[in-house]
Amino acid sequence: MDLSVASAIKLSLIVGFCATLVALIPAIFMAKLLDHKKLKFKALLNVLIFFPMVSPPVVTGYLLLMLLGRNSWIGKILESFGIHVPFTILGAVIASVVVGFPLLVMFIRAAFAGLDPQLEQYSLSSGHTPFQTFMKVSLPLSFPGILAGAIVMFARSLGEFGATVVLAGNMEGETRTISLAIYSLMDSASRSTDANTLLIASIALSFIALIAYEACNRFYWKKIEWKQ
Amino acid sequence: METIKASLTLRLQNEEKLIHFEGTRIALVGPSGCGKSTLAKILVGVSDKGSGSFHLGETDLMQLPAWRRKIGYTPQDLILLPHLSVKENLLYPVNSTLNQDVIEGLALGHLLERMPRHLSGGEKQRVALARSFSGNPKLLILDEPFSSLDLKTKERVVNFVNNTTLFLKIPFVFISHDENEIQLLGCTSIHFS
Repeated sequence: MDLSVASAIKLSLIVGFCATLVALIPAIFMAKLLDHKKLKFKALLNVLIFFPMVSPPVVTGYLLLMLLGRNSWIGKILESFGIHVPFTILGAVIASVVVGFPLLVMFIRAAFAGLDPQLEQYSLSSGHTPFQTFMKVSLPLSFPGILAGAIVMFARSLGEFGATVVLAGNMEGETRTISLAIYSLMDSASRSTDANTLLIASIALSFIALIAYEACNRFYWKKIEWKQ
Repeated sequence: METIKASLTLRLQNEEKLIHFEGTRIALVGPSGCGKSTLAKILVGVSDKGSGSFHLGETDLMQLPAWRRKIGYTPQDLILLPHLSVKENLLYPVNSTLNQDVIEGLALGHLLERMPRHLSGGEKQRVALARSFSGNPKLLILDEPFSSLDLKTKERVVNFVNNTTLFLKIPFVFISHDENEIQLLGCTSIHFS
């Protein structure tokens, strides 16, 4: 396997894992927040969270570049701490987090909405605080939905292109993920072999992600079944 | 045994209802859909459809959040936590212990390791009832706790609740349609229309 192909696969995996890990806890928190019926500014929060899902990824990338670029005030603060976002792998992770976050929130929110509210009510009446109830009832019972959201987010990160190319660029060995590598190879002479390898790798990773989801889901239900 | 004293306003869909009761064994009686279960949830602290006062002794429970009220609650819908075994459900309430007398009295010994989805309606109801005793509650709210039991089991379970609440000196609010159960438990009936 060509080194550049191997590096694209490796970078995609790093970006996918990091983006999913970084987004997971904030997404759980946000989904729970949006689950509250009496939340103020809920509509505004919804618009802000779900905007990257409906806007063209290139626009999202451009907005991120304006927000985190070296000339922006956030960018300057980050630079003073030695953190560079544009044209780095960190930029690729941030682009994937922003684009995939709405999907993750949507899945987790659906999982929370599917819970019988009486289970949480019962838990509160048993002396458990709202946080304990969340940890002992809401979270474990929403596990399959959270897992599905994480897998979709990971798969979305593997395929992320528009926002990544604008914010992180397309530099071989640094920010060139599978999608960017396939795009780059379309104009090169060696495109057939390498592009095919990347294509197969991309499909294989997507399948592995789905199989991992099935395996985790089955393990979870087996664990419950086993206790009977 | 501490006395229950309530003076509440319920905000139901199209109307407001005022309700007052006082005693140690209260039965709320009324037709389906009149708001009895909503009242139970208000007393437990998990519904905001009511206001007023609900005293247990000197303490106004309406001023406390649900998790500080120390109420043993048996919901109408046989809510058991589906990811926990019967034993884990019984140990779920804060400061709970496995009370052998309760387990034997409600014939739950052989069910302890089972998961809730493998229980019949009557078994779930007995587990829910046992669980309401397991956290050393100061008060019980029992929302139709015998509705899924067959006649023979019902008689035994009603006697068990009667004796245990007397022995442990726990006052309770009981929701039922069955006058016979109310009489057996020696409750003061509050009619809800």
